[in-house]
Amino acid sequence: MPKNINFKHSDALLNKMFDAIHGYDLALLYPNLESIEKKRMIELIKDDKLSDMFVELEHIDQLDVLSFLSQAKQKQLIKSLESDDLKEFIENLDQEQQKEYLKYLSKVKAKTIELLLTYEDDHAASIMTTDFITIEDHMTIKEATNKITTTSKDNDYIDTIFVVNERKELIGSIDIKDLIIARSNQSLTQMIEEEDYFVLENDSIEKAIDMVQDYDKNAIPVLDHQHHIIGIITADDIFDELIEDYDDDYQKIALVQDHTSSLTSIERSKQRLPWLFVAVLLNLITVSLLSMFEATLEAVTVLVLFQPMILGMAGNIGTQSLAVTILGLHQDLFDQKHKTKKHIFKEISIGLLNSFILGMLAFLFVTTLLSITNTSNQSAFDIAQVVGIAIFSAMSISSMMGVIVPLTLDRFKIDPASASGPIMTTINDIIALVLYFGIATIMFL
Amino acid sequence: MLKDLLQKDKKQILNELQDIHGYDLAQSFLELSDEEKEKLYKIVNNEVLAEIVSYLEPDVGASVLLEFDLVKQKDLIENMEPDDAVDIIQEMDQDDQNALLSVLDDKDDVLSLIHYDDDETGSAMTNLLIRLKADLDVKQATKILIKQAPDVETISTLFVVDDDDKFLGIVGLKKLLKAKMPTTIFELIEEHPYVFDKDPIIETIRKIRNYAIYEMPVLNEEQKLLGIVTLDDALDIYEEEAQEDFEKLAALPETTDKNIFKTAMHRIPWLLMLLAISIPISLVTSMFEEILAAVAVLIIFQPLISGSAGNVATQTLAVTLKMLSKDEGGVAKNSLREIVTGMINGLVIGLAAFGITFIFTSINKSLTDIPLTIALVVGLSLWLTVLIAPMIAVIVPITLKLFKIDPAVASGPFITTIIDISAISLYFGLATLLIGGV
Repeated sequence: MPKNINFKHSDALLNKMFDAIHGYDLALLYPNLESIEKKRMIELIKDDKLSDMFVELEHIDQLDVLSFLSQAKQKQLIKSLESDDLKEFIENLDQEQQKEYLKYLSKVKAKTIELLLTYEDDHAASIMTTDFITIEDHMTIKEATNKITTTSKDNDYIDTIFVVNERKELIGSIDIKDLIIARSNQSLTQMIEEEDYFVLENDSIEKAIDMVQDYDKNAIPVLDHQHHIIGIITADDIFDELIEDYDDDYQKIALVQDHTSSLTSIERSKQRLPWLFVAVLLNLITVSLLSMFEATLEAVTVLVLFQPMILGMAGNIGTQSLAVTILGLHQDLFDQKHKTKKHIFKEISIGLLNSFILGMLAFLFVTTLLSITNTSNQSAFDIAQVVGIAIFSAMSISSMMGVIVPLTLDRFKIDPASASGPIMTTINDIIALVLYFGIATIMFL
Repeated sequence: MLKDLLQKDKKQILNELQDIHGYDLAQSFLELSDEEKEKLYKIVNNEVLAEIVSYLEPDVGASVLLEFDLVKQKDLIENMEPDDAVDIIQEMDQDDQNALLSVLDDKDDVLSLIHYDDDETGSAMTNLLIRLKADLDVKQATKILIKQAPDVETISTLFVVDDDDKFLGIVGLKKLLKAKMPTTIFELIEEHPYVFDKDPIIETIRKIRNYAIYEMPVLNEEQKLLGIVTLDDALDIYEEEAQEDFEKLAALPETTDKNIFKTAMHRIPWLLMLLAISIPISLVTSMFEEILAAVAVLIIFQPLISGSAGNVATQTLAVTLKMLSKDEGGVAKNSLREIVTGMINGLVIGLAAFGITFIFTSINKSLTDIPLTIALVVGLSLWLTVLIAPMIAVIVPITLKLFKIDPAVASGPFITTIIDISAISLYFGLATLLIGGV
């Protein structure tokens, strides 16, 4: 991909260059151009390339592009867009402007866009496009092929042709491949494959992602409740959704939401400070609880040496089981009850086993360390016992929480990845500290 | 699904199997008992069995494949798509691999794919595609299309090559169908992005996504067309990579083991390492035992300090790792921004902690008689640790990368533990300085 374009070249050469660069790459270059360069680029670039670039631009740059165009050219550009891209552009405009741009479209298309705008963000229908081809089941092979070659527009998806009956209900699909191979005397109905893989208009995007991914589909139809096909979702859009989902989970577990590399320091601060504040405030609870154990702490100061270790290890094992569970939820591994039970059982057993091993090791370490350096009144063995038991129990509980909390959140339709936030950390901290100092109080006071 | 189906008679089974998607077959195959599997093997032909095996996880597929003799193995492999077959073969032991590879036909596509590394584009390639020579006319091209179509996945993109098999561009199916004689293919050619077989697969996937391409042509260094990488394969590979990133951030080793004990043992090394690096924390703290014994209230605020610093470090780490793994430019600029962010956040959080601590210790008079000093120590330490945390979280992964170690080794838990050490030294150190020999 070219890092920049040299605008000293002749018009003819520039035109050729734009032609050779992919729309996505042009869209990366565009925001960094001078106004005069933008103008020249938009004058020279071919119409279909302009649409390719336009759909990849951020909204603000899209408006910028439009500002360089005559009304006629604007209309041409808007009309050339795929319905899902067009919807995305229109969505970000205010009502007045929306109307302006919708005027450019044919009545049918404008209606379609208005319909697309009504779907909620997490519904499969919100990412569908309406550029597909249907044929009717009574058609002959020849009529079908004719319809495809004569009526399909540049944007239409034709890998799969959808077949509807006279009531416009979807009855199946035909692979374009089969249609091309077919002899003209073959009957169309025999070639129709039942379409088992579809989503309904208010199904979630997740369902569409799974279907496209699991069944290696390049496109799936979206149906309304009367079984009319109202759109299709294509695999390239699914890819974008999938990436967004993973980025989202990754960012959530690290408490950085909506992060992009272009954010400035101040913007980053603004984004993260609320979380950090919540964490500090929640720590106040931890602080208050700890102050209840002040007597124990003053009597057995040596306990404090191992406090970070206990909190840390409990946090670590919790992060592990949380990550496994979130990934599992993501891949829909727990769609059946017995699978969920199995997962919980497995993770809890692993948690118990590993907590036990680490508790033992911590016990050994503390005994050794204190036998060498002990200055307190308690025996190294007693303290090591407290630390060992605290590590074992705090880690076990934290690993259980790491499994159960995200699963519970998911059941109540709350995003399970939010279980990685400061609230969970604080709860884990409190449990670990109460256990640790509680056991110590019982043992020593 | 398969379990119930196997109760029926053979004819019915075969009939119904046709309508079930390979993915569903593979999912329900896993629930079968050994006897049921045997029964299934006897009934279905190699084509169906190959489909089931290729939809299983590659390591499971490999172990199923190895249940059969070499002749059947070979036949199954030939019924799979080459890229799926390669994934499965690569999961086998060296001996099994060699045995199987030696019986395959010399021309088998599997042999040309298997020498690619897992992270090279060539490893995800398939050569089920339609090639057209540029000098064909539309009618000849359509004939070839009709003849070859049954053997390929999709025909929406047709790939144009010259006489030496060099890639020239593509022709969209729609364009070909609409074209009238005497147009030649050469007149219909469109430029199209392509990748090379030795390119990193991650980069190819990124291009497929960015350019929204269903079939990405793969060329060798002589520009000859070798095959294509399809969007559905790219999706699967992307998901694997994303999961790896996520697992690494959580210090979770990659594993698909069903066995509880084995999975536990898999995760133990990480936990052990984390335990080991938290030992210095105890040692550092023990150096400050004196002041701790004198001013026990300090202990109460310790989780606040190491917790906040840990949160901040994890944030910066996640951002940095993502950049490093995507090989995005501007790591230096990003690091600087992260550090400045740390300074701002440190100041704000430090001030807040100062206030909170002061109020808290003033109310609970029994805790200390020097609330202002304690609040100062807490606030100041918090500011400094939140300021240092992003620096460590930037420096550690970048240093690892310089030494060619996977930067993701520095997981969230790892970095938090490192931060703990510096946070505690700072906190108790400052306390010693400010409160001194009280």
